[in-house]
Amino acid sequence: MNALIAIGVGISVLTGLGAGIGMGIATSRATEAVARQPEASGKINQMLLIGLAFAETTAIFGFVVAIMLIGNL
Amino acid sequence: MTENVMTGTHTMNLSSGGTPPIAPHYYVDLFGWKVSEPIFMMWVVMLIIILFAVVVRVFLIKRFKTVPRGIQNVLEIIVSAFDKFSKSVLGKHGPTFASYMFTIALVIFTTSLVELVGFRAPATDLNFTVAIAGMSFLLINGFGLYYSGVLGRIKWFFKPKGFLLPINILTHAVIPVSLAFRLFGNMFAGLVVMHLLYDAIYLSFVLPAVVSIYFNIIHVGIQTYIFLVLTMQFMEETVAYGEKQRKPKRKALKAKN
Repeated sequence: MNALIAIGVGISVLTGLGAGIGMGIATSRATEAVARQPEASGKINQMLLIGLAFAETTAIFGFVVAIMLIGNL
Repeated sequence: MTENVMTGTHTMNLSSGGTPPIAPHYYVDLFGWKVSEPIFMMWVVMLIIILFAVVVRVFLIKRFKTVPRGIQNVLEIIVSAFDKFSKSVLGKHGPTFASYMFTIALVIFTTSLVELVGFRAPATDLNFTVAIAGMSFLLINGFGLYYSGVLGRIKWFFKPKGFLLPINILTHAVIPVSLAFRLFGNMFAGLVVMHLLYDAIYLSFVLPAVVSIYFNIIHVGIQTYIFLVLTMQFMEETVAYGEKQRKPKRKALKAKN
C-alpha cells in the first residue's frame, strides 16, 4: 500500500511540467513584446506577473496534494 | 513510519526525514480551545502592529507638517502607493477599497516575517488563508451586487454568450478555492524548502541566510501582490458590463437644491 501511495505522490507532482513549459513560453513572449516596445514595459510586466500566477497555481495544487499524501505514507 | 506525521512536532530529526505537517501542532491551550502556533504568531504580530498604529495616531499625527520628513515620509509613501495601485486596477472605486487592500497586504507580509525568527508563519496555516480568501470572495460578490443590483449580477453570468453559463458559474465558484490554495501552497512550499535546508546538517551553515532572502521576503511579496491584483481584478470584472446608476444620497441632493 505504501508503494502505491509513493507512486501517487510522484505522479501528482508531474503538474509542474505543464506549468514550467507554459511559464517559459509566456516569459519569452513578454520579453519579445518589451523588445518591440520598451515604453510599455510596465504594463507588460504587470500582465506577465498575473499570467505567471495563474499558471503556477496548477503546479502548486499538485504539490499540495503530494504533501498531503506524504503524510499518509 | 511509526509516528503520525500529521500531528508531528516542530523540530524533527534527520532520520524521520520529516516535512512539517500541514496541520500545525498546538501551542497554547486557552480555556479548552487549542490554538496552533501560526495563529498565535499572527496575534502577536497583530498586537505589535496595532500598538504601532495607536502610537502613531495619538502622538505623531498632530506633529505632521506639510512638507513631510522622516517617518511621516515613509507612511505617506506607503499609503499613496496603495492608493495609486488600487486606482490603477479598480478605476474610480479605487480609494474606497485601498484601505482593505492595504490591510490584507500588511497582514500577509508582516506576519510572514516571523519565519525569519524561527516560528511558522500564519500564511502556512490553511485556516488563515481560507479566512482571508473567504473575506475577499464576500467582498467581490458584495461589490458586484451593490454596483449591479441583484438582477444585473445574475445577468452577468449569461454574458458574453448564454451557453457559457455553467463555465461562468464554475469559474466564479473556484475563486475562493484558488485564492486560498495559491497562497497556502506557495507559502507552504517555501516553508518546506527552508525546513529541509535547516534539517540537513551539511547545508545549514550559510546557505539558509541567503536562501531565506528569497523565500521569506521576495516570494512573500510576490504572492501578496498577486493576491491583491487578483482580488481587484475579480472585483473589476463583476461590473465590467455596465454599472447600475445609483441614486445620489439625500444629503448631496439637498446640497444641490
